[in-house]
Amino acid sequence: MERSIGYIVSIFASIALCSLVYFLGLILGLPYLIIFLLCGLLCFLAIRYLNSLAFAGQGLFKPTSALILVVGIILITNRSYYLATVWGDWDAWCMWNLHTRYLCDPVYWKGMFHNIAYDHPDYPPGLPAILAFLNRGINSLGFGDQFLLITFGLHFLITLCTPLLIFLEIQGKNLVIASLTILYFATNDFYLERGLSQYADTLLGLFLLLCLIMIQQAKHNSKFLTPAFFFSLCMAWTKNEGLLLCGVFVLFYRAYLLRTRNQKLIALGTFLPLMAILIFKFFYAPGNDLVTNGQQLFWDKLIDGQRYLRAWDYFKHSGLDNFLVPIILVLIYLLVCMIRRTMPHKQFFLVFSCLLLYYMVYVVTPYEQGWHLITSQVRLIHQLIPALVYVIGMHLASFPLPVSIQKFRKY
Amino acid sequence: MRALFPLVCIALALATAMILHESKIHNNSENPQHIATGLKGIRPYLSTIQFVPIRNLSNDPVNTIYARLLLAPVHSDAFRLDHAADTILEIAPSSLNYWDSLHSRIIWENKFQDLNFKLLTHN
Repeated sequence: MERSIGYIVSIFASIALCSLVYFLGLILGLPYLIIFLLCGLLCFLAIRYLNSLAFAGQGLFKPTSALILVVGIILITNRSYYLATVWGDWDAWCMWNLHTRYLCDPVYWKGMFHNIAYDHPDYPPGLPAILAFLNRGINSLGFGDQFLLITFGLHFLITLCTPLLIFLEIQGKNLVIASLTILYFATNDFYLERGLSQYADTLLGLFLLLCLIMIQQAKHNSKFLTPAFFFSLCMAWTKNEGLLLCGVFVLFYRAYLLRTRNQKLIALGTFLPLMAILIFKFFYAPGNDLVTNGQQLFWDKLIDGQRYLRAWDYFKHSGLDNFLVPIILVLIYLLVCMIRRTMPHKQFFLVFSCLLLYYMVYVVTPYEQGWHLITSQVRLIHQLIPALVYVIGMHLASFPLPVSIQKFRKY
Repeated sequence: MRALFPLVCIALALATAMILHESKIHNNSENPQHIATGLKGIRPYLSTIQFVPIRNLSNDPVNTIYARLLLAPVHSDAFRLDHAADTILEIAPSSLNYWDSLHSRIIWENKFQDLNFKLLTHN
């Protein structure tokens, strides 16, 4: 069973690698064929590396698990047909897919950075680069312009694999909790709509989830540090918020960085994404609007209590409207921790820290605070939901069952 | 072999979803002709632009039309954005009032810069 997760992780490691290599290839002006061959080589090496690692703790894949998995996949696929829009939502038209179109052009792709007003050319090109790579590949094979189909396909894959990864991780420990998680995602129209809106948020959420899964595995085998830190930088390569998430992740797991024997493994995973991010940020991307516009009143905003209250109000409303189940899940989890007199898992604090940081950005935002909250907070929370569900599900599934239930399970 | 089971399921689901979605793309009723209401009034405004945050208009037909301007070439065989844009402008019904009332001398300068970029690069 453990290999299943390895295969799925390989898919997204390959996607991230192709994105990085494609962007670096554009900078160097490499022909598409060379970029394609380089991507193929790196993906081959990454897949071999990941599949040489034994994932611990997944348990056997029973027929019941397979049945639930199939039901989950059918539910997601069926619902996606009704929820997916052809063109994606606003940010997809205006930013992500527009950036993709620029990056498809091997000569004039830098024009993307001239389009400054409201287009956010400072957003990292992780998602547009992989879409551009796929589009150029399909075009060069003579299938014509399949832009809409490829974009949908990639987003569907991300939306589908996120709950599947959580299910596969948990099902060996507790099939009931694993089933509930996949059922939650498969019947959650908000998650599916966001996933299929052709934004980068779900990809970012998936990379955060992969980081957490890989770092858990690194407790048993330090070779998992390579993909763990690779995916952490992939977050920064996907969205600017990813820089925050990456920073929090590195802060929480800095102990791994300090051990000499781990440093080569981490360097192996971080070299390529770090190089791409630094080149992009220092040589191409214009300044981020939140950073460049927000210097003057930063401290005033930081000590303005009204701004905190307003952020809290919006959080309450959007939470109750869209994230009621995760909120109940958090409350149950905290209650169970209190009853069992254990601290919540470290990764729970990590996700919570990310949420707090996001809201600190809203407190000091240079934009009108209400507008900024309305337009983006649900997407930011959406990014954290897969990681939150995974962390709580894994931790609850790891608790030993009460003796009475253990006896019952024998029958 | 058991390990491959989830992967096979994912591949089948992806193939199914893409086939279904392709039918949606081809049967899409949102073609440029249907959506391009109001564009007749754009051109006079291009030189008198006032920017407002685009996102405030996120439920606005402006967005839809802009997206069509960008994505209209998808419908055609060649990347001819100029033709697509002109077509949309020509077929738009007369709705100058709509544009007047919509404080919509907005995003077009920026967006037409994109358009000009594309015209420059693809013609």
